[in-house]
Formats: sequence, structure tokens, C-alpha cells
Amino acid sequence: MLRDAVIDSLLAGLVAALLALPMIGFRLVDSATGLSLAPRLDWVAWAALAVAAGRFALNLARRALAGREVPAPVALLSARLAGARPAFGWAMIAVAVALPFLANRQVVGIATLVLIYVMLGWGLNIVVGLAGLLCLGYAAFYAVGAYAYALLAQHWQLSFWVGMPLAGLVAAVFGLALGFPVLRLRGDYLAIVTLGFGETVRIVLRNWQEVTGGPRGLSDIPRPTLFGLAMPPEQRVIFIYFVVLALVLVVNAVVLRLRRLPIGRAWEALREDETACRSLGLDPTLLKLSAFAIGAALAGIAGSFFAIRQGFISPESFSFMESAAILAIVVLGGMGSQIGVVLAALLLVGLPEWFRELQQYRMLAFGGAMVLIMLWRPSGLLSGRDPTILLGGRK
Amino acid sequence: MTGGPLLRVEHVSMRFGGLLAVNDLSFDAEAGRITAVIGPNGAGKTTLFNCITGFYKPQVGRITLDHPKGPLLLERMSDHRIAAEAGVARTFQNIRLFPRMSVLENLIVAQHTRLMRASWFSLAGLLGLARYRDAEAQAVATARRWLDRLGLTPHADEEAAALPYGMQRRLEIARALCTGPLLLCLDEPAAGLNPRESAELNRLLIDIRDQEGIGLLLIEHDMSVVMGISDRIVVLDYGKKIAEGTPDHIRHDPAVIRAYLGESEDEDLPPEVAADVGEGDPC
Amino acid sequence: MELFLQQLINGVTLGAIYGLIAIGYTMVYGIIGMINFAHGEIYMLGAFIALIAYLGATTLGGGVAFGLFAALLATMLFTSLWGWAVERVAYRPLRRAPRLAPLISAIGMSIVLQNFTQITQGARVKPLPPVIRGGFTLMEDHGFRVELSYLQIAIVALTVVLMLAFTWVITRTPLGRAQRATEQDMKMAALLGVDVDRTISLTFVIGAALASVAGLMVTLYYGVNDFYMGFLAGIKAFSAAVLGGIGSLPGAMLGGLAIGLIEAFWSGYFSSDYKDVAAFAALVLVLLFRPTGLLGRPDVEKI
Repeated sequence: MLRDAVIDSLLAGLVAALLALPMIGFRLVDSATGLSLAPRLDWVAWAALAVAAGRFALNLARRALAGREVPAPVALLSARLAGARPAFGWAMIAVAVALPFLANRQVVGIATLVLIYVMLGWGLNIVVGLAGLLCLGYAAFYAVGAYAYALLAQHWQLSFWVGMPLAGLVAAVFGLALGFPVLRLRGDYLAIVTLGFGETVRIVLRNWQEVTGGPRGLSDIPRPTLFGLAMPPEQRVIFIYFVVLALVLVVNAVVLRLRRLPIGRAWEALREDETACRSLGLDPTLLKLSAFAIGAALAGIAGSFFAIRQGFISPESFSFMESAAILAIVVLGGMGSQIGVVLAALLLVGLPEWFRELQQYRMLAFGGAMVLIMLWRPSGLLSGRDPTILLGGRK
Repeated sequence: MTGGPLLRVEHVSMRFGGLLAVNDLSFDAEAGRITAVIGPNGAGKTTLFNCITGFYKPQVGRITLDHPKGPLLLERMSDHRIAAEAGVARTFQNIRLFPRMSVLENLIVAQHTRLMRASWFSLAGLLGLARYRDAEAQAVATARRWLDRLGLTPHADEEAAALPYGMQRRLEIARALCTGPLLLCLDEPAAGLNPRESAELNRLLIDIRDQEGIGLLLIEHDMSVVMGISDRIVVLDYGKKIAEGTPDHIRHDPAVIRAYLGESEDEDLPPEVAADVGEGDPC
Repeated sequence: MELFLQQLINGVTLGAIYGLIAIGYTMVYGIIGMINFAHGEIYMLGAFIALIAYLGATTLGGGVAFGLFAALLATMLFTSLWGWAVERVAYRPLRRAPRLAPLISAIGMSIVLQNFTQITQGARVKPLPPVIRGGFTLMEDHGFRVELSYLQIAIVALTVVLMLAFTWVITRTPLGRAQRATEQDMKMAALLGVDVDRTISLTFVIGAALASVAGLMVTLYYGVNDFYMGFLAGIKAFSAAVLGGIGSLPGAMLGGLAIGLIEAFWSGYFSSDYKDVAAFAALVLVLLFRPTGLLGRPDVEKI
């Protein structure tokens, strides 16, 4: 009934007005004489109106669509992709390879960042998506990799090709360090401990001035060279991009492979039912530690790429916000979907970078996007699981 | 193998705070035999299972498994080691499958230990070595064998959670068998099955006993199953063993009747219960 | 000795504040099994609204007492509404969704609220000169004073009163019973006629109200509100809830007290740089030996 829709919208507007009244209605003004209030009550009226109108539009839309099967565009995309997934994957690779020749340096720089987050997403996917271990401090491994690479390069002049895997190794050790204490912990307890771990690493990085440079971080990180020759910035950006791309493709192949191997299936079984795993002879300790170690190693490698992309790192790049963003990428993409992670990374990393100018609103939009996408597609953009082995033969 | 019983439970007691769930329990289970553990609800049957399979650690007692490589003391081994090394497999009272994995994947995971060893912890698989490919093919063959035996082959690639209840129970049994056990522990395998399915289950368990030569330990309430196929029955009440013997012996044991029906010994069993307990025609 | 006593007083005060916030986390987790990441921001909103209400009331000509009363009332009312709204918009639609969906939504909501505050009130810290001044000097030795301020007494006293009131509500009223029933078995409670949606909403509202009081206390105690204050307080309060045993209300208070004391003592005897690390380390240690927290119910899973 139209009348119900109107009443509902008016109520929504009223609630919005009440919510807006303190924070929007009055502004705290700090002046020489102290704090005072500056009223902005007209803004409250506008906010209430906007909410009421939006709610009304939503109600109308819902009524119009009621009873009609309107397949959501992404559901269609998902279905079509399922069949065309390999082709879609190759297409994306082709675009990625051609990118530096088509776009300017800034775009290539952003694309490099997106690729780094793709690697982070796949790494976290092993821990959260496959093994079912809710890790909220993943950025710690990212940080460890970045700092390890920076320090190794600065103090021992290690080349990029040596430093990068070493950074991954150091991060893997940290992964084991986190894995041990959380072995016995149930899901959400594990989450808070991993969160604490992430924060601890950040705090240590910020305070241990002698080694990590404190809040100012490490700068003048040696850039990679091409057979010992330094490269001009334009070329270097493209070089780094291709190296990251190559490694991302290798990681993709390895992860896809792992999922079809005993260890990958065992991780998923662990996520499904740990007790059943034990009853079949699977050792959860080994599975959890290996998930953490491999996931951390991937983050460490991504960290080394981050270090050479920026040339400079500081603790503030590795806060909980980072861990949350990476987790969002995994969940938004649809856990278990490699391409999903790529799409989500493009969405959550590429777009905000593009709109860097709108600083404050950018973060607001980021958070809002997280909420909206979850409300719309709780299972992620591309979800659904295919078996890793079929009776009729290998997939 | 020493020639003694496959499983020997000696003076096992399990306490939870103030409650003594299993009280000084001793019995044997032979290979190639079906041993049933029965008793009223709360008698300690599943607790016993959990002690045998390592999910609980009894405070007192010894549980010995006669393994070809030598006897193993199960009471101090962890649950996954008992499954992997001692060859003791089990199913659960409330089915525990891997719901979002396919039927076939459930069976492949069951062979994990063997596959990991064959693939050098998956490394051989990563490198694409034939060693791993062969091991995986072998695992699929084993899985196929049990799929066929339990009538699940058409559903091999379906999600486990999508199967009807009876098939989920069968899948759980198939999965346990894929581990290649010496002792198979089944916790209420007939729960929720209709009479036809129970009869099929009976045939299946007898087949397994005869063809695989393994020992079967069974918790069950369905007397048509228990009386129909058990070689030996152990009766528990309040954690203690109150009777042990052949189905015939148990059927007439006064202590058993008392435990199930209460104190009044003079009463005859009501006809329905008598039929269940096998005074009438067994299934 | 003096340092010990002073830090004890400070720790208990801080602990009371953390405990009030922790209750919101533990109640929500207990009833719908979800970590409400935006709860720290609710606390932050509570602090801002309290500040605004106080300024508004005193500007209108009221005295300090009137201002505080108005602040308390206003923050509890408005922040509760915010807590209700967040649940309604971001969590209720996801109640049947996969486990991680509400978590991501909560994290997104947390970012939205932080930035909302930053945009509407500016990024700079809002300082408030001390409103309640004075206190007792308990001891004095070598120039080091052990001071117990009126404000500290007020904070702890108010917390105790709220705890008692809250416990009474949970154990004696129909609402409390409905809450406990829904926490234990949502489906059954619904079948027995409990309005599950309303009960859950009420849980969020109560949690928000308590967090808002904590916000008022912090505004008076420290006097430096900024849009980011909810984040760190939130993690610590959640750690406190886990430390005490998630789902346990006395556990939340106990956990809050523990975290507050650890922070105070660490800052007092060592440095304040790593006080947060000390709190997390304590959490890990406790969980190593008691995986479900100090007062948490051990996970009795039927195998």
C-alpha cells in the first residue's frame, strides 16, 4: 500500500533527524576561548529529507519488483563466468600484459598496487578461505616482509632477487610464531589474538627506533636494478610492474595447484569440521601451521614489492585498516574464488586510488561500499565452490 | 598380531567433574567379529567410544590395540594418531561430514595420510611427479570401490550436504572405511533409518566383517540390528558393564532386562519390547 | 608503594571504563555470535554527543551539575538510537548470511562512523578543560602524592550502580529472561513467543547506552575527544571481553578491570609505549591456559 510506504519513509526520516541532531546539528568549534557549539540545524532537515526520500524510492522499487524474477546482474555474471572462467582469466592476463603500453605511468603504478593486493588477497584466502582460520592481523606479515626486505637491502646490499624470497621466509617464520599460540583457540578467540598480534607488530615497528626508524620508517630503499644497471623512473615503474605481474601469475598457478593437492583439501576439511579431520588421522596442528606459514610468506613477498614500489615504508601503512581491507577483499571477492579476489582488489584498491583527491569522502565511500556489498551479496561477488576432483577424471 | 583380541579394554574409568561416566569397564573385541555396545541413554557408550578413539583421555585404565607392528596403548595417544597409526576409524552420533565438499572429496580426504606420505607432503604433487599421480589414482580407485559397495557412485560429485539423511550415514561409513582401518567404530549407524535401510545396513556390516576381516565395534539402540548381526554384546548401565555375551545370552539376562525396564523383575517383557529384543522373529 | 597505590587507583578507574564498553561486545557476541566491530565507534559517538550536550546545556545557562545530567541523559538516549540504527541497517539483514558477512559489514560501518565524525566535526582533537576538579590526597611520600580524585570516585561509583541495575534487569525482568533465552537458543525462544528481533535490538541498545556512559566518563577524565578514539579503546575493550570469557557479563567487567590494571601498572613501572602490547600479551597468556577466557564457559561440544 502506498500509504504504508509513505509512513515508513516518514518514520525513517524522523529517525534520521534524531540521529543527525547531535552530530550534524551542532558543530564543535575550538577557539581561543575554548570549545563552543555552532548550530547547523538546517543540515539536519536536509539529512532527514534525503533519508526519507531515499527510503521512499527504495520502497517503491521493491514494490515494483515484487513478484517479478529479476536476476541480479552479478548473479548473471557469476553464472556466465563459471562456464567462461578460463577464458575470462586469459583475457584479464592479456589486458594486464598490455597495460603499460596503453596507459601512463600513474595508471601502471596503481595497477602495481592492485597486483600487490591481489597477492595479499590470495595469501589471506589460504588462511581464511581455505583453512577457515579467521586472521585479523594479516598486515603484520605484510609489514614484516616489507621491513625485512628494506633492512636486508640496506644493510647487506642484497639484490632484489635474493631479498624478496628472504622477506617471504622471514614472514613465514612470523606466521609460525602466530600459529603456535592460537592452535587451541576457537574461531573468534583466534580472531582477537591475531588482531592483537597485528597491532603488536605495528606498535613495535613504531617504537623500536634503532632498527625500524620509528614513526618515520625507512626510506631510501634500494631500487631493483636490471643486471646491475640503474633504471630511470619511467622504465623502473614498468619493470617493477612486470616483475609483480609475473610473480602474481606464478602464485596463482601454485595456489590453484595446492588446492588440488592433499594439503589444500585437508585445509578445506579443517575448515569444514576439525573433529572429523582428527577422526580421519589429519593432524590439525600441521595444517594450521602450514596455512599460517604459507599465507604469511605470500604477504611477506607482497611486502617486499611494496617496499620497492614506494622506496619508503612506515608503520602507518600496516595498521588494522590494512588487515581489514585485505580481509574485505577476500570476503567481497567470494572466498575461494581466485578471480573474485582480483575483481575485489580492483574495486577496493583501484577505485579509491583513482579518487585520491576526495580524501575524507574516499574513506567514507570505502566503508560504505563494504557495508553495501555485504548487504547485497553476502557470499561475495563470485562465490560457489567447485569440487577439486571429479570421479570421471581430473578437472 | 599376537593372536589375542584386536581391542582390549581394561579397567577403564572416565570421570567428568563429579560424574563417573565410565566405571571400571573391561571387555575385548575380536577382529573379524561384530561387537555391540548397548545400554540405556546416558550409560556411557559414546564416552567409551571417545576414550577408545582418543577424543577423551580416561583417568584410569588401559586400552590396547593389537596392531601388526605391535601392540599400541590407545589411552594415551591423541585422536588423530589413533586414526592414522593405530588404524581405528569411527563414525559419529551426529553425522560429521565435510558438508561443502563433494562425496568423492570426503573419501579422498580420508586417505590423506597415505597421500601425504606418497607425495612428500604435497611437494611431489606440486612438481607434477608421477609418484603423486599414481597415489592419487589409487586413492580414487579405493574411493570408487567403497562408493560402489555403498551405492553412492551416482552422487560422487555432489555436495555432501545435499545428500538425503540415509545416504549421509552411508557416506560417513564409506569415509571411515577409506582409511583402511583395523577396527571400525560405528556410533549409532542405524539412527534415523527406516526398517528397510536398517536391513541393508545389517547386510553391509556383515559383508564388511566377512570380506575385510576387520573388527567392528558398534553402539546401537536398534535391537533389530544389534540382535541380528552381533557376535558379541556388551551391556552398559550407569557406566558399568552389567552383562556380556552372545545375543541369546543377553536377551534373557535378568540384569539387562532390569536396566532397560526398571526394578520389577517379575514382569514379563511387554510384547513390543520382547519382539525388539528378539523373542519374536529376528530380522 | 605510592606508585603502586596510584596506579591501582588509575587502573581501577580505567578498568571500569573498559568494562562498560566490554559489556556491549560480550552481550552482542553472546546473542548473535558476532563481533560488533563498530561498537568502539558507538562509544566514540557517545563521547562526542555527551560533549555536545554538556556544552549545549551549560551554554543555555545551566550549571555544571545540570550540564552533566543533561549530558548523561542525552548521550544515553541518542547513542542508544545510533546503536539501534546500526544493527537495523547493517546487521539484521545479514543474520542468516555466511559468518564473515556481518563482520565485514561491521568493519565497514566502523569506517563509516569514524569518517562521518571526522567530516561532521573536523579531524582535530576536541579539548575540554576539567569539569570536575579536586579530590583527596591519600598519601604523600618524598614529594610523590597518591591522589584519588572526585571524578575517579564518581566513575567507579556510577559503574557499580549501572552494573547492579543491569544485573537486576538481566536476572529479574522478563526482558532479561528473553535476552538470556535468545542467547541460548534463538529458534526455541522464537517458538516460545519471544520477539527475537526486538530482543536483539534491545541488546544493542543496552550495550550502546553503557558504552555512551563510558564515553561521557572519558570526556570528563581525559578531555581529548577525537574521531579515532573508538578504535583503540574498542580493541582493548573487546580483548577485555575475551579475556574475561566472551558471553559472560561478570567476565566483561573482570576483563575490563584486568586490562585497565595491566595498562596502568605497565605505564607506571615501565614505559607507556608498549602498554598496549602488555595488554595483548596478557590476553594471549590467559588464553593459552584457559582457551575460553577467565570466566568463559568451556566449550562443551558433543562429539
